[in-house]
Amino acid sequence: MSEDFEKDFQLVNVYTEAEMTQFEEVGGTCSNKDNPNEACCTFRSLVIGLAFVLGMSYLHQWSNFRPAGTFISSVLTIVLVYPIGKIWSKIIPYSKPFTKKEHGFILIMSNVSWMYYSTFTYATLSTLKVLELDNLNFAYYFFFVLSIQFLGFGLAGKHNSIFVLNNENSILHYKQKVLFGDFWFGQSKLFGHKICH
Amino acid sequence: MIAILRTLHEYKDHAKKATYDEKKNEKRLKILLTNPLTYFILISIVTFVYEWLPMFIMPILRHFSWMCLIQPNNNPLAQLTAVRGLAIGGGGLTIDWNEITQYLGSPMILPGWALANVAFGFVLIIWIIVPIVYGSNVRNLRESAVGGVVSSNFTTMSLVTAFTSFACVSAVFIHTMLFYGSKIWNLLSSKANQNKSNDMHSRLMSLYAQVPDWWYLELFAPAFIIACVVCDHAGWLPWYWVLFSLFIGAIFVLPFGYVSSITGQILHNLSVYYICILIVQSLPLASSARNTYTFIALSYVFFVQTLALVQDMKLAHYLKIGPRQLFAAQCLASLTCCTFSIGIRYMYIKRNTISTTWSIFNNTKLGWNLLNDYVGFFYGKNSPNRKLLWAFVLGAALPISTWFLSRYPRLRVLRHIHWPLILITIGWMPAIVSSGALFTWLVIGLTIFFTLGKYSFHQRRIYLTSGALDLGVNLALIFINLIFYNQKTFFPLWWGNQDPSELDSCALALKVSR
Repeated sequence: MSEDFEKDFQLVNVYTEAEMTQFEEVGGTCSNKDNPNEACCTFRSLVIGLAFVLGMSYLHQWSNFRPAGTFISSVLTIVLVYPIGKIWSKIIPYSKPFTKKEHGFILIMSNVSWMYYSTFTYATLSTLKVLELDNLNFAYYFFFVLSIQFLGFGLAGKHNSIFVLNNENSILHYKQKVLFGDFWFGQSKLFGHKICH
Repeated sequence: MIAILRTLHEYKDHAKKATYDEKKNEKRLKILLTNPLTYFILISIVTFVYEWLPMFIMPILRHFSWMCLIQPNNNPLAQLTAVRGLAIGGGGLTIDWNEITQYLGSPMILPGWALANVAFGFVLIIWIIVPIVYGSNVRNLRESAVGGVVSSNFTTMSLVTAFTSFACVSAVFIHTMLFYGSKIWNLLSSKANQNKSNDMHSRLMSLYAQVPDWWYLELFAPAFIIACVVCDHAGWLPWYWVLFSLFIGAIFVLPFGYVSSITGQILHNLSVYYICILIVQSLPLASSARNTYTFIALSYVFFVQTLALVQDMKLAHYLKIGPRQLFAAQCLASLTCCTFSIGIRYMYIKRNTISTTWSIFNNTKLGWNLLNDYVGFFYGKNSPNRKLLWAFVLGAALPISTWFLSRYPRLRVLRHIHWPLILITIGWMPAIVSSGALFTWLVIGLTIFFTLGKYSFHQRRIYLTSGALDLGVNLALIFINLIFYNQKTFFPLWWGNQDPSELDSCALALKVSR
């Protein structure tokens, strides 16, 4: 199955534009090979992901009531998640090695939390503060924010084919991707060196 | 110097003779720099240590108007070279990675043509048009500083940037239509290419089970109904205006998303916020703050959330995470994040804790206007502002004219001018991004692009460096804010942090008219 697939990819590669190929070379991290059986949505990734979402939400809201705000950006998340995942796979008995896709899964979960914070500081905050002045009911408050969070899903699904499947729009999140890839790549290389000496 | 030269040359000569031990030492440093991980950690540590200077010990570096410090009483010099003036000739620099990249993102990861565009726009608008407007003294602009910060009256730069922000909206629509119109139409009209794009990532992804469209719809429909019911029932906004506000947000998604995905630059968009403000002020809503702000939040957040979700989908696409797992991750994270955040905030409010912060957009002229001035942006004493509406015409004319002119073979260079990118980047100034910060941003970006950026190996290193810088800044920010500023501890006063206003080291650049 996977061999067949690689053959396919070779064929395609002959016809891809120069830009596209260059993009592959430059990245080197947007891997052309994929193992569809690699674990992604596991108990481990769910627990770590949820912990990060909760922790980040708490920190962001807490710091909103402090003189100086702090935040956890996605770069920091990438770096923090990795050792936690590794330690989990060491400590918990019978657990499989921490995979790249699990790491990605956690990153996407925490990215939602990061976007909530950034949208919040950019726009929602003033609205909520104005609404808070008329002694609002918790149910209203809750459902209002929940609805504006979930409204995006309808349009996102609609625009999926335009943005995601179109290879021209490659810059988005590219930095994160490279960083992510290098983290995994670097790790193996570091251990490789250690073995050599 | 000689020592360095000798080491370099002699290393070459003696390399073959070197003993095993020496080789090992040489190798260690090399590994430290060539291994991506150690390199990354090294840069992060260096950034972390450095950031203590601008963030805590020496805040003057954030707004370092060094030319103005030589002659503090020279007004023309202050207006021309200060960080919050025009920053001509590098007279005002922002030597703080946090301050530079906070809103614009890292200049290192942008493609060269985008940087060139922003540089062109900066020179044209800030260094040529702003001084002309200042010199013409319309609306007594010369009484206040040229750039300054947000205040009750327009400064020259905030007038010009309000103009560019308006122009950006029509420019984005026209630009998308002219340059990508046919492509988008093809993508929209043919369902067939959904899984059969030539891109190898799409081919790899076609192995995974897709998410049916109605899953998204199933989430959208209840959210939509809840939004209408809650806003209407609580008296925040009648349901028909809720529909209208969501419609406004929705039409911005495609053109702005397309442009921002190509330039990687304008996800959080000031222009969209501005348009929401303008529209809501012209609606028959009795200028109630509740209605106004609910309207803005609905349409702006709808717009941004959609793009944010799409951005993560793209990330998952490259990481080869199956669409269904991605969908689960996003839903679960959204639900927990929202519930928890609101809970915490409600708890704080019930305890009567008051936060002093407002949203960032209130630091712009129009946002400030909305908060402090109840007349409306185009009415009453603000009616001269109506002339700014010409910006929409100009914004439409700019891309059309360059598009037509670029058809002549001699003027083909004009094809590369990206007006939306230029206009939106300039639109962040002066209050949120100072001209000194943008100048430093451009200098760093262009230097790196022209020295190292061309080659694939370096490019990857540059991305890595950029990430490491961001990490160092983030860590420094967390440490300094938690340990010092939140405990109200400050660094002892000295030359580097004596400036009380902390907005510019040059007092004249902040002069406000009475």
